[in-house]
Amino acid sequence: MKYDCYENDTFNLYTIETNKFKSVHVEVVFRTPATKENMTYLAILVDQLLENSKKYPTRKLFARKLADLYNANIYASNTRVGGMIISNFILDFLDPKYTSKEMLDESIELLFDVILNPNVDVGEFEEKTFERLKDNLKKEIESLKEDPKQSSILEALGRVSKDDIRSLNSCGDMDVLQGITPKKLYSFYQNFLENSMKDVYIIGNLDMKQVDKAVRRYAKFKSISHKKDKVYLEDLKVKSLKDAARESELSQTNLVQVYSLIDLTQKELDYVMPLFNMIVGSGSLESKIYKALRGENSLCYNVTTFYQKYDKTLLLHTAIDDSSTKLALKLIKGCFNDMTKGNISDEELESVKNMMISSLYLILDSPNRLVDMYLFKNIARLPDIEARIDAIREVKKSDLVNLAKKIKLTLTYRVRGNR
Amino acid sequence: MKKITYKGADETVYYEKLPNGLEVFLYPQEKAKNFYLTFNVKFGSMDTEFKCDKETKFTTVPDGTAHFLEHQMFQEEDGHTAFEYYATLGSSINAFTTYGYTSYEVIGSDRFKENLELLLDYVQNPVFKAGSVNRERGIIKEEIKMYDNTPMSVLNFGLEYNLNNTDKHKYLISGTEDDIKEITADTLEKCYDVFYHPSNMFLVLTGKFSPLEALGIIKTNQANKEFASKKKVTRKKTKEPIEVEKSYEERQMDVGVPKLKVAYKLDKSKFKNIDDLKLRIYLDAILQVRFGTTSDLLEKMIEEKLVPWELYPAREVRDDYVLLTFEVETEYKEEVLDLIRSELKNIKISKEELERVKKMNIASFLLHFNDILEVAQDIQDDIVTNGKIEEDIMKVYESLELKEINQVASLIDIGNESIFYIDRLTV
Repeated sequence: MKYDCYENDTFNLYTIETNKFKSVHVEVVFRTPATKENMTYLAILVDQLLENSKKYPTRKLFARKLADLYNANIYASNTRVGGMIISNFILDFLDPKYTSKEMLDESIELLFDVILNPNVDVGEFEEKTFERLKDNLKKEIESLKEDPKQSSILEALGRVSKDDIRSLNSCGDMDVLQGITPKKLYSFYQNFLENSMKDVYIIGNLDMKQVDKAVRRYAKFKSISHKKDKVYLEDLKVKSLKDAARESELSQTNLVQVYSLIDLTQKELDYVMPLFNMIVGSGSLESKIYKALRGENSLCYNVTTFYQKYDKTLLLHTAIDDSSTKLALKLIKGCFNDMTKGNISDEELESVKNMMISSLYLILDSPNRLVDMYLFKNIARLPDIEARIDAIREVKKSDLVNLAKKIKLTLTYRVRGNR
Repeated sequence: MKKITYKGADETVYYEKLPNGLEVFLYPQEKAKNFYLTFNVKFGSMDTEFKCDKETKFTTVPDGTAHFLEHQMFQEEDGHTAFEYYATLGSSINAFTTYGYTSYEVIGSDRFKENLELLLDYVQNPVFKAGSVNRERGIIKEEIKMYDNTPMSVLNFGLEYNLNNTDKHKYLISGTEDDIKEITADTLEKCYDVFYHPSNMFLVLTGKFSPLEALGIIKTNQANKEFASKKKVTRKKTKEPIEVEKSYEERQMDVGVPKLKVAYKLDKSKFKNIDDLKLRIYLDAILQVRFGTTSDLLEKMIEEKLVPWELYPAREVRDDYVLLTFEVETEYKEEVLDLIRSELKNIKISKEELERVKKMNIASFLLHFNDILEVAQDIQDDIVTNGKIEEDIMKVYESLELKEINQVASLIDIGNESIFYIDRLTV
């Protein structure tokens, strides 16, 4: 794989030249500060831009154009990473060697057409489409409760701190959404184009100098932002809260715990905490909590801890019979105590190191993950894979024990199942 | 090794059948960094009534047995598990059960030989002890409850239950809580002996490895094991009536938007002049053109706010019947159903539409080779569905004819309809 960077006036183009894939993968990546307002506006903006464009004014015509480009795919997502929102506009299309040379230019033109030439009428987005999409987003927010795992985690985070950005879902906030109009959204969009940090990433078996020319032709951004990224959130320093619960119509109880990570060093954030997380609850069915709850006591089908690096939290979720809650909590506490006391075998540590290294290698077989790796190298100064592997190998048991003292249980929350 | 070349994609799969009957499919991809190994058994949730060799009576096991056995296979001697051994290698393992087969999978990047040998050994050395079976029962019980709390699972399995009479698609892959109470160590051992014979299994390896080395490891491993003689297994067949068992059911759950799924059972004998592969491709094309993102109908439904996003159409060609399904989130059940019915009655595909679908199919076929997991999935599907790899699918796409697709479209009828609807909870 050949990595390169082409600097342009208003954005950088990062390229990965490789014959590994039969497709070309392009991402236009915007970065904006994570606020409730930005999250909500971006959720509807992305839907609005992907719905149609000036040139293809209906959803159907846009879909037919993509189909004619040999099933090219354009999609987008907003992801909050700590203190920023990353908005990716993604294009995947078949390597032009299987179709025709023109496909490269036509596909890239379509992607930037979606981003830069929306269906706008005198300073506001076309109203009928806007109202429909706004209504859909409301439904999406209301439907979050259908996923007991996600909704119970967000509720728990909301209980820790109601206004904290950690508890906000990717669809945004209902109150903010109510106040958005086609005009306000268009004004947000202009500001977004002008003030967001933006870059373009492309992976494929292509002449990247030609690609740079094609991208320059269509990526007509008017400005460049020099704001500094604020990726990491401040530590979640709140007092431990009393256990909380609410009733539900479910048959299982969803049990969530929120742990704060206090004063972690960069090495701990990058290497020690991921290994800690894998040993205690996320590595495999061999993690301490999995073995205790599922393997030895048959309390659950699934129990996982999630390390939110840029949020500086560790979250735990499981779904169990409500009558098992007391035993489950006792077993979980025992697993964390084991970490504090250093009851970690050399084999456990070696296994999770190997698993983490294997998961890094998975990056190299996926275009989307390759872009993520490149992006985080740029925004969070993550080293290359080989350097990361060396650092993982260096982590010792004493590092894990020291880290265990910096992990504080903030809240235990239950959505109780009684059905 | 036999070389199977996917025409038009410049990709090769190597194939060999071992003396014990085990079939091996190898797709080496030197550009990949990882490997994906699957060991598959043609034993799925529908295999609950069977007899071996000259047995006169059928053995019946509870629904959920194949899935339970999948769980149990991870147990090793002395309370150890396969997860433990794989954890030391840094690889990830998992397994899944479908209606038709069970698959054990490994993803790794290093120590290929040990990963492969371990897969062959843990699947071929089962442990059936009452204590571990009981522990697994508790875990599966929670898994069943988890699906019961998921609206989309309730929708999908609820509809299958209602549209089938005797066909085994009717029952949950996991079985119900009552079913799994009936499953014992003896049940599992009996099924293992019948179905987990190498002649009823196949290996699919994709990614970074040498095919010669891989085959050598497999041959040596299998030659060092003893297997019972091959059994002829007969699965009990019942003829599924074309009529649905129940045409409508409604449930209330805590959902944000109500969910609708409707199915149409079509008489398969009407399509007897078209082979199953081509029938699948034609039906996919019809559904894409008339109900997919490029369709007039979806645009109308969205513009009129009858559906918020998509209308998910799908088809299945089963032993006794063909199934068309449509899944959608909507508050306007009757209006949506009327539009679907009306569209199904009047399908005509144009030349331009067929050409567009051909382009989409070709792209989709080539793009699967981007991902070693997708290649493996395609091979598994081909083997379970057709018994062989389809080498020249491009030729099949090119041979699609306007007259034939419209003939298929004209044979669709909506007489046998089953609807499942999940509404919001009323206080």
